Amino acid sequence: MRRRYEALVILDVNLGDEGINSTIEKLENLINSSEDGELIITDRWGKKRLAYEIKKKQYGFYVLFEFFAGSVLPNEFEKICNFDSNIMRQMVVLIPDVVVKLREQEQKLRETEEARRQEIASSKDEVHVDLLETVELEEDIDDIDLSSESDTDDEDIEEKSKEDEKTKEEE
Amino acid sequence: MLSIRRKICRFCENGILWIDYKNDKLLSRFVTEQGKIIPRRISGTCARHQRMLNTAIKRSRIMAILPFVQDNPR
Repeated sequence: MRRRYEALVILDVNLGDEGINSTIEKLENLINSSEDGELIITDRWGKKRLAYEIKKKQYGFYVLFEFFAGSVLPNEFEKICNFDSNIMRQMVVLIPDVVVKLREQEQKLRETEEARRQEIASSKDEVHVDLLETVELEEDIDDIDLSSESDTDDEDIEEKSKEDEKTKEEE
Repeated sequence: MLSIRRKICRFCENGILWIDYKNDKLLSRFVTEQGKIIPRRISGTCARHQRMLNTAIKRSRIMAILPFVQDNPR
């Protein structure tokens, strides 16, 4: 029976980019070449600090494989990982069918929501731009008035009150 | 004085069916500073979800996402 699995693998950081890429490719090929095997995603988490030292190493390179597989592949995957000295830890976990269905539903929901949001955002953007432009213009006027007529206080106050009224009216 | 308040399981509230062992932020809330699993009489999770939490925490410990023990010298 074809089911969905998830494999998290910790690689040795000291391998370097080439070594890491080659081991990841090796595992990807293993998944795809087996019967019923189909790789969905390889997610590279990258270099991460380990919660505790493994073989005196503080950091590890985490890679997550998500794949469909029959009954043989998960065991084989574990075996090969255990023989490979570049792989520090491995864990293959079966994802319950209920969860898989739920995730699919959620993704569909998300996609529809995003589409809606983008529609709304595109219509909102135009309005936002207009508002910003008007605000900038008002600020410019204020600055000029204050700087040019700062000699006498009374006038300033009068000017300000007038301006306030103007702005209120505008609003 | 002693008000017996039934704690409600957080996972039941949100209708969670499976706890991901890779979610370290969530799991670290159910672990003490030392790295011990918080008992359900304190955290208030139901038996079913505590069982899921247990496996998730133990899995994440194997993958060095959570510590087995955390020593805090003071």
